[in-house]
Amino acid sequence: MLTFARKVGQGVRIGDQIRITVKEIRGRQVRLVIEAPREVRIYREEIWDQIASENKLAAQVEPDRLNDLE
Amino acid sequence: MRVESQQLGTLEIPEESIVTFPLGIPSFPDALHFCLLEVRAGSRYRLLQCTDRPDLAFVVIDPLLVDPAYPLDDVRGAAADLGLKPDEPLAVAVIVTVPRPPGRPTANLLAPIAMGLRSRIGAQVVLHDSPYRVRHAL
Repeated sequence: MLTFARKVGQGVRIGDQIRITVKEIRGRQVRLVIEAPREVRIYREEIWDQIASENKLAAQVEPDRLNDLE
Repeated sequence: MRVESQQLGTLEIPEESIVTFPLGIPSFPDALHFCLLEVRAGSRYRLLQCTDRPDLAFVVIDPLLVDPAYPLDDVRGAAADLGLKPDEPLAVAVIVTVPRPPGRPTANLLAPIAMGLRSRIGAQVVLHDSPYRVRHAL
């Protein structure tokens, strides 16, 4: 795991094809620009977490509940 | 081919009904093959069964039954990295979470399942710019 300090305009490269640049810092918010090949999935972390959690919950459907569904 | 489903038992399905999910889905990166099964005649729900694991299946529903204005074009856009041809028919389904009673089922309209019907490739995609959430009351 790496930690970098970046100023506005500076970036980080991940592998050959992924680039993250700090575009703007306004107050507490950092605006990041992410360039990556089309097939690389990019998510806000909290969105990914929500989807991953919900998938785990959804996978727990019990056979008898299946019959209750209209 | 034979498919084992913990929910529905042993079933014989055509090989061509298997859809490959190259990246699995979030929380299940190893679930690479799925098929859609009928739960019950006339039911609006179906079962997205992982054919690699009999114990892994998701109740799904057509998002248009939940929201007739569901933006299927945006789903196609979000699925662009699947390499689907523009004219390839796309099947879209959303995962339903069925909690224990008295909980009510909810649908994940934020992250639908998109499947190319000709290429037989699928993924769970995210409608990043939509107002949808992972739990939409049914």
